[in-house]
Amino acid sequence: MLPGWKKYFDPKILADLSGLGLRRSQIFDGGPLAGAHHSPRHGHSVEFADHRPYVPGDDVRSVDWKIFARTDRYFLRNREDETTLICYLLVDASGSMDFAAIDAASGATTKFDYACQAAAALGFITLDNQDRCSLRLLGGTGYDLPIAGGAPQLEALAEALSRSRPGGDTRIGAAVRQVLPQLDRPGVVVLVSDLLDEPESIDTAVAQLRAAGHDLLVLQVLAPEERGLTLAGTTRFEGAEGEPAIELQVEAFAQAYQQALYAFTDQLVQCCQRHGSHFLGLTVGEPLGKRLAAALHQYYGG
Amino acid sequence: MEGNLLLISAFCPATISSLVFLWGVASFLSGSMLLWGMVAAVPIVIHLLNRRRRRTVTWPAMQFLLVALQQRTRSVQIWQLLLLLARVLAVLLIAAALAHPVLQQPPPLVTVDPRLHLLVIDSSFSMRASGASGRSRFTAALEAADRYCRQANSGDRFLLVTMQRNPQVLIERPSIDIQAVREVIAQLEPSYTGASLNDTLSLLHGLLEQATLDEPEVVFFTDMQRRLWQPACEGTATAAWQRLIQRCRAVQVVDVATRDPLSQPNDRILSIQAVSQERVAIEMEFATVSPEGKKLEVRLDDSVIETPVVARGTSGRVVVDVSLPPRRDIATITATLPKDSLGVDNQRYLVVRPPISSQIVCLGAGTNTRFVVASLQVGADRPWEVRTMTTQQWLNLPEQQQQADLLVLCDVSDCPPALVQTFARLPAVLWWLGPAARPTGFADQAIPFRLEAIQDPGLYAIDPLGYQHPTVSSFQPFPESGLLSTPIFRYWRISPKSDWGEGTTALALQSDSGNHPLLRLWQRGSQRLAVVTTIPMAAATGDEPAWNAMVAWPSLVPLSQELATWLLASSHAESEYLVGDRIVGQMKDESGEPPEVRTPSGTLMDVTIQRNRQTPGQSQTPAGVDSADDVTMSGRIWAAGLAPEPGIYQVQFTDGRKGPVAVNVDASEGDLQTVDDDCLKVFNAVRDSPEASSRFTGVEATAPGRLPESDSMGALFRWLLAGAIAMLVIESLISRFALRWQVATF
Repeated sequence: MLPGWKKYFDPKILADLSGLGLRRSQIFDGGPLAGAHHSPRHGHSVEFADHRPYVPGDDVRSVDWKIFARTDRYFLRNREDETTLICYLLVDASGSMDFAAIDAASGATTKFDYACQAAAALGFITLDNQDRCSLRLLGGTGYDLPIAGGAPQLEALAEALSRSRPGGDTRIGAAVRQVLPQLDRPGVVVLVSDLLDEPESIDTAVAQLRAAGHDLLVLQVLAPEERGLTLAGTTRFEGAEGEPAIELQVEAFAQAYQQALYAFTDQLVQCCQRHGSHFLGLTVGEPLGKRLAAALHQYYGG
Repeated sequence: MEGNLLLISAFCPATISSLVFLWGVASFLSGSMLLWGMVAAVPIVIHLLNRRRRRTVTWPAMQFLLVALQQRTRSVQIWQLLLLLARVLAVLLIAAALAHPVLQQPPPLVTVDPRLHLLVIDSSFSMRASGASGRSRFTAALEAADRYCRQANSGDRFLLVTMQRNPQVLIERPSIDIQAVREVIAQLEPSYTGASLNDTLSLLHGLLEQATLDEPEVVFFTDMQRRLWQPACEGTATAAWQRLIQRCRAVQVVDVATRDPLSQPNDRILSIQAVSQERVAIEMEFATVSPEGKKLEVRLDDSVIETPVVARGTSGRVVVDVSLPPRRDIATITATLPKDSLGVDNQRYLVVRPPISSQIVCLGAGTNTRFVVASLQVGADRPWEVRTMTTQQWLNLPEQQQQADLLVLCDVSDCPPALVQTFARLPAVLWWLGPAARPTGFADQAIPFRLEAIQDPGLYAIDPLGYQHPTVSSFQPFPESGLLSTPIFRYWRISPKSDWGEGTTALALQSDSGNHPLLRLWQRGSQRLAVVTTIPMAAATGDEPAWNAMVAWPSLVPLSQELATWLLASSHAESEYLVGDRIVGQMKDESGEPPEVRTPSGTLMDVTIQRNRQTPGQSQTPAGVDSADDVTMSGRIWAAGLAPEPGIYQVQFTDGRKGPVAVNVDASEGDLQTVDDDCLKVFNAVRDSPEASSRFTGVEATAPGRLPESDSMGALFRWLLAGAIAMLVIESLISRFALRWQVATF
């Protein structure tokens, strides 16, 4: 077993997600590869689509001979085509994702690890549904995975995540827009990040993703201490991504901090709703399987 | 910092302005308490330390902090500054309140007409007493007077008088130069004399009678000593005091003693008496009980002769007898008690004469005088010679030969004027009354008592009055021996004469029925008088005429000798002067040069020669001369100035003779009791007049309710304290509600 397998594919999480999967919001042309998802193309599946008059050059094997017998005219019998879904896993590996807790010696899970677990879980159910997925790291160090399916891709996903490291100064909105041209086939984009960027930049990125024909699932991952400023006394805050340091009396600003966080989250939710995307806020330490299962069930049904 | 101060000024203009006002117009009685204001730096230092004591964390969600910072930075800074300001002000206000601020002058809201101020400073030696602060009452009085002058409005004028034995007007004409007045006040020194309210009021009335003087505001700076001030309420000075109040715009009495109580109780030496040639009696008074007693040091000239520990476990008056070593020449006795809060009255001086034989003359019929002679001649070495003669024989003697240290009149029927004249020249007279006495024969003004009537025969027990008087104190160890417990049968009822003149009187024995005196004594100057009033039963003496019941007493010998000893005591010592007395003496011959008189501190005094005639009962006996034959100063006398200080003065004659003179302080001035509360109301009533209360806002307060400025001081104190509490409440509200954080910096 690969070193990262056990870390990212927790059986409990996968059990919670059993039977679920990602869906497109509408029928899409997934290309020539056969899969489990409806395709706008007519293909060779067992499902009947409609009839059309025969024109020279059509495959005579598709002629509906029973109609010809009754009407003496040639009609072709069209069947639905089925295609595969492509899931793009975009994982934020910026420096801010390397935060676990103020007490660095506490051994708490970092936001990046939690984000990787979420991406791995969604990649697993995608591949398990005979679809294909890819992995792209936004910032940090590591390597990306091209689109592929099957068990080898699952192993490659675990390997790629285990070798990735967060770091550097990465603006998530710009990073998404930068990676967008590489997503050549429409699919479901899963963005796992803390989304610590300007709301306008994120809105632009979401809009461009949707305009490119992708469906979008946004997972925001924050540490518990980020959601509530629980420090006391005068504290010097140094930015994880090179922001200028700030020194303040924490108690005096805790309330304003919370209000700013709520306002930012609200902006993100409205942005996703406006663009027909899904938003899920996660806090490190929450039961990932149950939260994802509940969200997928809500978004895509059973 | 400048911005912070501006901010402080903007948010607390009332507090800042009140502090500035306080700094400008107030002085502080306990200025050292202002040092507590340095504690105000503690919140600032803690605030700065807290800003430095910080932790550093790496934080991903900086954008939210930036938003919060933009929203709240300004308000948080303002509230933090307000919080700091509230803490600093609270500390400063508490420190200011503890420093007892006193308004130096009321706000100049109205124009005040120039006024005349008459400052009277008590400079009697009781003002030398030092309080717990180590500062003397006199210093406190000078400071209060100086503050009073500083409050004066432009154009105010001042007069200055000191209260002492001879009150002095130091600034006789109203002075408008306040600085000069303050300099005069600063140079004042307390005297060694007592003070008299009557004399002072007389002086003030004389001063105020000057037509040019307006209605003055009179301020007394004093220690409210009972001896000095009680006469204003219930004594000889009441009328003069009321006249002063009516004459003046306002009269104020500033008590400088109450606020600073004595550091130690005041013990004092009341007197030294040469009760005989071989011993002196030192009378002291101790204010409190001392378990270990007090060490009394007695010196004869420069040698310590005795150091008894006295008043062990007791208080009140204590008399100690000290035996003197044999001597041939005149000598000085110095008695000294340990230092206390008032050291002036802890030392006393006496000049004792060389041992000489005293002359006692008994006048009367031979059957009446023999008992006296017998009782006085008992004993081998009595220091007196006793002669007997009839009254007529005495009157027939030339005036120069009518000399005696003690004249005893044994059952004389009356005292003719010629006989009375000789009383005035003699240092001691004793009347042994008997049945022959006639009330009309004792009517002369020079006799201190009047005969009323003979008490009906009966058994009258003798009350020795606790054996307090020296003449009977030696009987105290033997109360059941019959010495003074044998009853008597009859006695003369006598009453004192109110027009006899100033002097002290004492009662040694009295009848237990009606408290009639049986043995009464007087002292005026150096002259001593006594009368024995007992009469025997007519049948008690058989065929001889009855004389005096004392002859039947077992106590006749010791009592008559003790009586003679007391009466002759003044002949064993030179006259005692008090500070402020004029030292006088008689010239030996008509052409001699005046002596040189040197004070204890070595200063030569001015000496003049004049002709005078004084009697011992009216003035001082001569000093530095042979006293045995010079008891009457007539003819040419020398007179030095007023004695300025206590101690032994040296009188040096041109012919080589020397004579020390003892000058003591008036022991009664050392009684530091203050006036009664009832009497105090009189002064409070004066003080509470609107005219007075509008002026005396800055003079030192001495007791709550006793001085006008205490009200303003109390009000200031309350306001400052209320301000401090308000600051603490504001601090609590800011820290708990405005900032919504728990205060961790104070």
